[in-house]
Amino acid sequence: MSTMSPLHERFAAQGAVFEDRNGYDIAVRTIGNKEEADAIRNGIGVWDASDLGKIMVRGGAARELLDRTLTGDIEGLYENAIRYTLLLDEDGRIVADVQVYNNFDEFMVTCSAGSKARVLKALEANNSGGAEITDASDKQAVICIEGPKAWQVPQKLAGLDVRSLRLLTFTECEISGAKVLLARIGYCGEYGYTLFVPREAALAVLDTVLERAPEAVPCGRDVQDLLRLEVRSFNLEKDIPNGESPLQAGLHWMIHFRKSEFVGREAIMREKQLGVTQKLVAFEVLAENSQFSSSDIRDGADVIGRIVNFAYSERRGRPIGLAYLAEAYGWPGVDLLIHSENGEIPIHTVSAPFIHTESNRIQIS
Amino acid sequence: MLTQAESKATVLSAVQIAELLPHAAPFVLVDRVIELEPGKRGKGLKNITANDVFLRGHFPGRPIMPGVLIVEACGQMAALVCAAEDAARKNGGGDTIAPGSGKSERPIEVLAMIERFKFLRMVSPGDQLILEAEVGKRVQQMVRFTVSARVGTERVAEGVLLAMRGE
Amino acid sequence: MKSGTQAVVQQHREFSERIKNVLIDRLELNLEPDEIAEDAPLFGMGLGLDSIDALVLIVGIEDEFNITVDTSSHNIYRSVNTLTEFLIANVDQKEATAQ
Repeated sequence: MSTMSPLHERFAAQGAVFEDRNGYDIAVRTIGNKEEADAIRNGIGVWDASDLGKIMVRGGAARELLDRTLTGDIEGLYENAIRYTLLLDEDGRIVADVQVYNNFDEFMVTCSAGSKARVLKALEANNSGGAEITDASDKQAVICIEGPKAWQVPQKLAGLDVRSLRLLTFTECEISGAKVLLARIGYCGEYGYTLFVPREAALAVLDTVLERAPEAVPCGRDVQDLLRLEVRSFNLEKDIPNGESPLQAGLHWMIHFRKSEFVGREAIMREKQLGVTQKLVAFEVLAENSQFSSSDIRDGADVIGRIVNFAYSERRGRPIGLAYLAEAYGWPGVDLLIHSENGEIPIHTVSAPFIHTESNRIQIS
Repeated sequence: MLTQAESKATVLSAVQIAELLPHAAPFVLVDRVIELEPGKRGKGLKNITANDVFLRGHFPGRPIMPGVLIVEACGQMAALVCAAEDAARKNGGGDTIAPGSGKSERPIEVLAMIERFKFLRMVSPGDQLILEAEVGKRVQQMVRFTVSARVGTERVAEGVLLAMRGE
Repeated sequence: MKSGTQAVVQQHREFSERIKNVLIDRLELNLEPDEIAEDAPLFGMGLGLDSIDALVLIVGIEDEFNITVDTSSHNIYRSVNTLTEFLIANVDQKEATAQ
């Protein structure tokens, strides 16, 4: 029996389709992938991320524990700021991507539902300083609001001027009588806000969101894959199918290389010195909608890479994807081939992002 | 001391400067503008007098213009170059500047970065600072200025400032 | 590998290296060139550079490559890759390499 989100009934009332994902009943689709994508790209989309793992780390040793365990700079993470970073294993392979929130006397570590057990295990294993680690995942609902018009929502909800909340920062506010953590963080390349709401107040807060922003469209989870791919936003399940390293995936920015300690550091520094043997590169298919029949990518007769992430993008007007290519090919501007049911199709490597988002065009802060 | 050509020109008087800049006394650090190409470059001057407010405390018995205020004077000269461009645009082009719009409506330019600055000589009462500002690269709301200040023929300060234009 | 592909890749490699050095020097980043991914966003969720850095970077690129960058679209300086593509399209090869 899957765990139900506190927001389940509202999405069910919208006619959402539910599927079990990692033991949670997730609203995967509401009005349809295409319409949901349009909403998030042109207006405001709202979806339920309550299954997000939320781990609280408290105590004097908390900051040091997180800094020692994760790849990013937690030592230098300011209050009310968020760090998007990685947890690796000793061999430098990605275990999870996490967001660390510095909320003064407590840190909140968020991660996907499927990663939570491993993140908890890694933190506990490294906890020589006796920090207090609690799994608070079921205590809070999570509402994601994203779109080029989403910046209007915090103003309507809590009287917050959009300029006062910079990217990757958060604040506490009161919505419908509940204490809500409002973070400016998005996943699809648009203006994005994430609300952490006490479970008991979840429905009331969602109702307030939908009432104050009537143009907001409730969306499902599935549309996320395409939207993230369009702006090359990291997607652990798709981008790291086989223990590929963060350097191969181009996630250098999540790693604080000057830090003397983090799990997997030795492996990362060794790989960096030797150079990566393959790189995750963006490509587009030079044909109308097509599906690939083999993940092989060829240069002539030689297989030099494989597709890991692939979708048709209306906004690009072509199928797009990410592939691991041998380092010699890992650059934009290279012509290669893939196989479809209709034979060989040319592809072309490109630089990210695949599309320029509406949010990018809007200059606010 | 101004050159002969410089001393003939008054492009903007102190009154016009006060109308163009969002600043007000006692913090307007440009007394007169003597050359002006709106949006491109400009030259102005500030007389340093023993009566200047900031000299009272810096230092008692040894009045020296604080370096950061030389930066500010140069920055205001740069702001005037941009304000002139805005005013000219409001008038439908041309180089004439119409004063009169309220101070609070004007776009403010705030210092974003002192990329580099050198203070080559101390500035004291009796000196006349000749301030020069040249607009360089712009990226979105950010503008880069090359600025300098001289007393007579001697350069007393020079640097590069980045400023953000906005409400 | 086709010689055409090889030439494109080589151009990308060379420009990337120089762009990364401009980034590191002008912005005083505490990073080595091999610690910057070519496709990573320079601004926002990525390297997290700000609008001041944007101007300093553009000035650095203009100086290094003797070229004028049209800054009306910020898509050009979104990543090392986008900057490389811009340079490949606009820089006179002889002039750029004769430094």
